[in-house]
Amino acid sequence: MHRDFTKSNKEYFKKNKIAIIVLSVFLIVGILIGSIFGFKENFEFAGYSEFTVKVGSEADNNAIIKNITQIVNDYGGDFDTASIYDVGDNTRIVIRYSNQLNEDKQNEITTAIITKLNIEESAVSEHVNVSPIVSTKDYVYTACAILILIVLVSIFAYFRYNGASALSIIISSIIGTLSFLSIGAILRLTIGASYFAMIVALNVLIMYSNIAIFEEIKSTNWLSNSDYASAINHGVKNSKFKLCALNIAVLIMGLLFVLFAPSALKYVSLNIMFIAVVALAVALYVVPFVWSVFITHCKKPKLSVKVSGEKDSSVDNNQLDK
Amino acid sequence: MTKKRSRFLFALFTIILVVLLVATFVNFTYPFSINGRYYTYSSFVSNIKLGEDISDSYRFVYRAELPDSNTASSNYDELKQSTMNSLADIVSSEGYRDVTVSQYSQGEEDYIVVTVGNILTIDDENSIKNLIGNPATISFSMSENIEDSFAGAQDVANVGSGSQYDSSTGETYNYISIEFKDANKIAEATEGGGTLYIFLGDSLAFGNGITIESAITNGYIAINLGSSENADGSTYNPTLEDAKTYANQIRVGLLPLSLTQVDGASITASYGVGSDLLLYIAIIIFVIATFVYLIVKYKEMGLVACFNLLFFITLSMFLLQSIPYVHINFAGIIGIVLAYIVTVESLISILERAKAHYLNDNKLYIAFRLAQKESLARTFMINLLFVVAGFICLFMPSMGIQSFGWAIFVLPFVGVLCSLAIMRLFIKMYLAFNNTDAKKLNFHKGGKNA
Repeated sequence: MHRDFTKSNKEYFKKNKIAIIVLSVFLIVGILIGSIFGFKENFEFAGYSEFTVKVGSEADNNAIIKNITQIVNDYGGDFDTASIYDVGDNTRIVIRYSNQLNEDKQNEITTAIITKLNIEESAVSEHVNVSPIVSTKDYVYTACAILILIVLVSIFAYFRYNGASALSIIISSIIGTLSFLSIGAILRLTIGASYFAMIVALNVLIMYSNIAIFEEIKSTNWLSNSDYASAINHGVKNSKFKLCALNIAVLIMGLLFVLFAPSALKYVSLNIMFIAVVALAVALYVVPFVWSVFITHCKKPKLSVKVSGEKDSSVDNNQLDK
Repeated sequence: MTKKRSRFLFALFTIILVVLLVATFVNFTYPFSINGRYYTYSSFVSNIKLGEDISDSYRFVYRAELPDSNTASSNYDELKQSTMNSLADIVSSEGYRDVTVSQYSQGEEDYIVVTVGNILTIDDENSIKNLIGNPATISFSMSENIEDSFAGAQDVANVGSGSQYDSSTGETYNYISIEFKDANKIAEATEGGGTLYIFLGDSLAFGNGITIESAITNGYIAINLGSSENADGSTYNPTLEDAKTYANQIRVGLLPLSLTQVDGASITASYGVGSDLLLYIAIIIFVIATFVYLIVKYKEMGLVACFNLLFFITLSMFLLQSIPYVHINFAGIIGIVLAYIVTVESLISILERAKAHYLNDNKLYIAFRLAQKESLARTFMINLLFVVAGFICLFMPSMGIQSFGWAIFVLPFVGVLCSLAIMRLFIKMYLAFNNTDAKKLNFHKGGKNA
């Protein structure tokens, strides 16, 4: 059977011109910024600097917090914390800077602490420059984990659906991951160990979207009597509600974390919102893009698809499409 | 299902749910005493171990130096890294999670920082202090004089501890096993037999030596910790814990660098005081929002779905606190939320399919039967995806990703159970009361389709 692939490509480009251009520009800018400036790493990767200050237990904690916050703001980076806790007769304050400070900076901050808190020099008992907790090993391991996941799910998709689905999972996961990394690079978001967990979460969401769409196509036996382009249109159209519901739920959760979480977590929580946006964009734009542009060129496989459910009451394709 | 049976099952499940909710969220003291002592019940939620980023942790700072300060070592950095890796292993092997080991330099001195998250009691603090704080350098000699030692810490490959039952005497022995790097060295030293003396530090350990009848050729010795007499005449029987403590002391003594504790302090969460509480508030709001959505969108069936989700929450918390390796930090919380969202989505998927089938002129019970049947493969597939992803994450070096992995590895099992098995039963129970009035489920004919 001859199919006019060029026509479906052109149609797809025509309908989604703006989305494709925006995504392409965004990806190019993100990759460029990421490659030139790298990522902004938090203390887990960059190491940190910590000052410990001992003050009397009768000290006014609120006043200390106010002054310490001022010092952190004056001399700090983006991921700084100040913690106060009681040990025996003393209250100890730990101020953590997200980078390792040189000696001049250390002296500057020590002087600021002494002046602001009106304490003896000896009370600033400890200053340490701590090396990174997480090594580059984590980068490599996370990349391997995602790779293994993509390979496993693609193999599964190949056998359950077809080669086109496997290809779709691979390409959409790569584009999704690059988009998420681009957001981090462009917005200069602080990257910690949680960021890696979110990359894994993003890939799981993208694969989830793919599987939801393919299941829709498979369960309605759409591909057996139409081409790839209309099959994916049908799949996306009928899965749209579920995919939107899922990703909007993740987005709301991220928003709640941004609103309620402590300041240091707000940056991390922003990433939850971004994974929802990227996963939804990939499901609604990238998957059909991959199918329409790349997969329509593939030879249509013979599918052994059965319509699930009872025949007399199964949902009619046209009915579902409404 | 008859109405009577359905009513009975609803009552039964409500009672079970109330009990589970109390067990999950409420800490209380039992209203009765046992042997005059009142015990406290800890809820599932409070038993879940939290990572150091959202809960308190304990930090130990050690000054690290070469065992002999006069000796310069060209591979000092390697020795330091090896010491750090071994420390992480030793503390983790004691069952503590969220262990991070880092280092810093101040002037000419090097410090190693061991941070252990989720320390629950003062006993834990002391246990770790004793674990790392009392290193014992081991040496082996065939005479009572330590100067004659033929092997030391550098010759030991591995140290272990265990228990063995002797069927001939009917007794159980606790032992320490020592494996040598070079089997020939110990074979040569013990060739003529005699007594093997083991020193921990400068003191003779394990009684008056071990009688060796023939050469030890396999490079492995097991030392039985027999009973001994205390100063007051009572008998002291070393336990397996004692064997473990000895083994750990020896393992710390094997570290390439010698460590001196200079500081130990509890520190608050990386994300600040009360970060866990703020996260819980965000999660509670989110859960309430999903409940409201389900009830508004599906009315009575939404209520049934919420009932089901409460089972998901309580069973999830039960599982997370039951598995000893699970500890939850911020990434883990994201995993829990994700698993919850997927379960909600599975329920919505069933209800939306049921709605579509109902609008396609099927009766309510047929619509639900078809919806569940069609959702079966999809729900399995999606949850399998999470299980596989979670399983891979468990092998990551970062505690954060491991925590995320545990959440998405464990909870999909509960998700499948709730969204397929329990929901199926609840739908059956509900349809016994109402299998005709679709308005009560918001399934209007002519309403917007899925």
